[in-house]
Amino acid sequence: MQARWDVVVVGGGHAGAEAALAAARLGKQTLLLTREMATVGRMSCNPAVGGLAKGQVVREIDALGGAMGLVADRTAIQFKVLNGSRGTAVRGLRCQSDKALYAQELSRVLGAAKNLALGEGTAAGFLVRGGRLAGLLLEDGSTLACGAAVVTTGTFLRGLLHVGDKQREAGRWNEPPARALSDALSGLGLRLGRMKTGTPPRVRAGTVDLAKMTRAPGDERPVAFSFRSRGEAFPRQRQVDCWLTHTDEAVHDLIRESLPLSPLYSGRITGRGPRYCPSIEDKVVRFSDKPRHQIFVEPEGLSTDWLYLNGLSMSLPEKTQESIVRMIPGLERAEILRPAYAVEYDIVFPEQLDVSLETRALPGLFLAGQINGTSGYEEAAGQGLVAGTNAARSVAGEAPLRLGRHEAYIGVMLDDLVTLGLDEPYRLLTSRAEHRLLLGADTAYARLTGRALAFGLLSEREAAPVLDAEARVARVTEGLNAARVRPDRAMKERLSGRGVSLVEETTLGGLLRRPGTDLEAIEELCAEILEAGAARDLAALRPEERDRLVADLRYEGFVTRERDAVARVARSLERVFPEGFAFAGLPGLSAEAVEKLERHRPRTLGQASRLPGVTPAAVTLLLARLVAAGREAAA
Amino acid sequence: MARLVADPDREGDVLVAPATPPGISALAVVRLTGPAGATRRVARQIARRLPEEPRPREAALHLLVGEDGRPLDRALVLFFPAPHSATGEEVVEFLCHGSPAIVGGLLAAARAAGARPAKRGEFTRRALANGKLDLAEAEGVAALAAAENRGAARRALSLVEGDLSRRVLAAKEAILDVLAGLEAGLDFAEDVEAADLLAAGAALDAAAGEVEALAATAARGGARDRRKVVAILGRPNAGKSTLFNALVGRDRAIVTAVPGTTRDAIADTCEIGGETVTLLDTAGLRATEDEVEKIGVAVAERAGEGADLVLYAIDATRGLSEEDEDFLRRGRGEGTLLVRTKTDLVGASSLSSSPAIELSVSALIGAGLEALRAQMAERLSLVEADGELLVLERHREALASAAAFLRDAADLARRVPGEPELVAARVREALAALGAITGETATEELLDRIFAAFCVGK
Repeated sequence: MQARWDVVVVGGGHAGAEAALAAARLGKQTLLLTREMATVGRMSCNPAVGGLAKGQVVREIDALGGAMGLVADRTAIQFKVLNGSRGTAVRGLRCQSDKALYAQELSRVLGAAKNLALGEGTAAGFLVRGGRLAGLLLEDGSTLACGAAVVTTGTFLRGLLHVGDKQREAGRWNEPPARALSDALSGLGLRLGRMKTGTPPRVRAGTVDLAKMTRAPGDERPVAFSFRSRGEAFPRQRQVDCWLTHTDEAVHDLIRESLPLSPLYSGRITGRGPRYCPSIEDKVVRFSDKPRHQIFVEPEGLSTDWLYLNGLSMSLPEKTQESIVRMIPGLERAEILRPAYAVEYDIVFPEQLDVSLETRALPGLFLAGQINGTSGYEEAAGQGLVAGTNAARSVAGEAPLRLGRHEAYIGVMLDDLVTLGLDEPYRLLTSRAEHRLLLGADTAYARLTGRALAFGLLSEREAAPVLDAEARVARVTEGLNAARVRPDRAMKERLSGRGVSLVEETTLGGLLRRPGTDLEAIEELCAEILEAGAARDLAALRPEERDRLVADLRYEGFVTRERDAVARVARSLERVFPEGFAFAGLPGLSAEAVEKLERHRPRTLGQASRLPGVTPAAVTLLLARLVAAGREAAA
Repeated sequence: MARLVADPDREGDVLVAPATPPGISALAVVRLTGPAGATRRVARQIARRLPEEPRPREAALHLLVGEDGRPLDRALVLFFPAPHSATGEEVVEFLCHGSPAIVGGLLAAARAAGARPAKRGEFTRRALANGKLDLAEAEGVAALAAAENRGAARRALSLVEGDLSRRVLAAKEAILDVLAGLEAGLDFAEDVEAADLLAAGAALDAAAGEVEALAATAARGGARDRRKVVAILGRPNAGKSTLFNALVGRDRAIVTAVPGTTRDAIADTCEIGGETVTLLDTAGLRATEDEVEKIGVAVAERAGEGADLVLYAIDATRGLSEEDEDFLRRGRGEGTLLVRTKTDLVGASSLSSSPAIELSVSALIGAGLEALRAQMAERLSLVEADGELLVLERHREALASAAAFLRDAADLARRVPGEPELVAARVREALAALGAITGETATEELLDRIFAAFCVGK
């Protein structure tokens, strides 16, 4: 292995892969350092990519030149849009993945990338020169010099697995944890915390009676994550079904009886688990009035007989797990291939990071993924992309890529992470975004392609299909808004036949703005009265682009208001604190506010205002300070 | 913005300002606020015997000296250590005699000792900055300072104490419940059933009703802040001016036995039901050839028409005359209170028992005045209502727009096909509007407007 790199990425999971690809794409000599080459791109938990808010993140990663969307498209064995009947802003693209194919394809993409090398090794410490990261110390005693590093350790930092009362040190099932790096991070002055997550049992397909379950098929018309999939066979893999079954009161009784055996309830696990992804023990205790909980039975691939029991994560002893599983309809004779387990691991409290994901403790050191307290492949990948980009830019002495809350779910996540403080693993939700209607999966390219081009994450040639499609949608929209529909008798009759009432003069766009009027209902009319170019463009739109077009018209009023609100608030809340702004020196700030501000070091007034303990009055004072500072600077 | 951040880089200054209005009065308050130690140092230049560590919140009599070292006044001095003061900083108050010369001398002495005259709203801004007040509370302080009567002061005080903030927060809780239901259905589509939009619509309508009720309370408070006018009318020499003086509490109108003494309308204020009311004494109503008196009668009639309440005085020694009957026929019903005057001059038995006459008073000996005041308060609807809040114009706007967003959201919730994400978007707008009251979404323009409305030293 060469001894000097621009950027070293520690960890080859979803965060590490995107970080390494982004840094390499920006022309930096990049090394992806992994403990074991065979584990690169492994899906540790569920065999799926996307979901609500997460699907939007995959699209954002795609718009910013990342790999997750394309790899997911190529290796998916079922596609399903969640909230498919809802408005486009809250639809969640999701797919079931063949785990083995996914890891294989991601490894291939990494291997094929220019400026990127993969190497085996375990990071154990940091080399510091002149207050900046200068390299990594490896477990074998060797060193790697680098300009910047991205650490993505997932659940490996002092990872501890629990199955019932048995525990062992591991990051994943049979993989040893990273022991030394926690101390090295603490040594830099970073505060570490401990989180917990869990994964359900896997059972053998041949031992399951699917006839007792409900079939859960995918969508008939799959929607791809990546714009790059338009140029290739899609879907590439054979598509399969998932299956749905459920627990019942008898199962719940057994779980209740067995609680003393669960390390979650015996107090043996101290790390905090996620409320949005509760273990079955939690579900039974906290929602005792629910007579059943659903279990999705998901295949882990086309060429494996492993099935993933989504909804049944727990940390009870193996024997108890077997009893529980076998009380569930269709799983009476199921053979457990791997028991459910809980894992505890160290995190670095993310308020010690800038939104660029650089640690304030050591310039040049970036963190991404579960080490920052998040959960989910998509959250990890989104952070990886930002951290890799910014590590590369930091080496070049360039300003970091920062995404705002109104620009991307990734922006919402990064801002939440560095300002809110965590007490459970963080997962993105659409309700975390105050501008949800702006952040649909369908608008990701419109939102982010410009940034991708400006930062060199996509070339103009690569972005051309996206830009063309955007321009096409814009031209059709313009045409629809210009095409007048006069309320003469003939037109009224014609439209009422289509269930559309016409009272006063409007435009085609005006008709589509009404709830319940879809493009199909007025398709012929469009073909007739649209200006020829727009009509041609309309005919060429892909189904998703047609939905997007109508959604844009329907959301228009709301979106305009949200944009106005963004602009209004932005003027004050996006004011940036000057470098080294002394919160402690401000008379009038309460001790609590000063403590929070000094600890989190918010970059903007908006971030400061979201800190717990920072009162509206304190925000007013800070604003006054910033305005004054701005005036002094201008004078 | 200049007003909002008046010299924010000089937050460390000791500020001085009079806390009472200019003019001659029994007492005036001059106040210092600033960093601990520095504020006391300024105070000790003025009250030279003030100890280095004065006892907190204990009034002590001190000799105050001017910038030339000569005695200014003997006054009470109060010390409030940080953070237990109105501004959250160290505060020293001088309670001196209310003469412009003394107040002016004190301000000059403080300036000479290093204090800086406070700018508009600066005391309150410091309180705000120190977390002593949220925005709604700060506005309450402004209203308190401007409150001209006890009722307005009481409402302002409840704002300072967070009544409005509390009720807005309660409304927000209810709305957040609905929003949480919507969001859960959207974010956990696989696990949680989609929110029942019809139920959400009903809950949002209920919340809108709550917010509208808050806004209505606000409107009542606002109407109350306009001062009511009471005119005393009656024939010449019916005892109007005596009654006027009795209600005002001093000899404001000239009283003689000569009919037609009052030619013009005389205005003064009195307190009725805790509120300041403008009281008008008018020329007696009669046909006259006197040019001046004629004008006076016309003025009286106009005053009667414009008043919220007319006290119609009837001389008990003379009883109802034709002119009285004539006036009452043209009458204003509820808006007129018939008052029999000069009851000290007649025996109780000889009082005519006209059913129209509701009250008897002797302004001269003060008999019946309390009953009269109570009647006036009732007629003017100045009876204290529970839970009434002072809500400033900005709050009224915010409440109204929040209510409108909630109604809009409720309508969207009833629409088919349902679009919960649009309902949620409107609900969020409503929450943002409510947040504007307590300052959570404060933008610069907002702050600019608020601080422009402040007066120096509270």
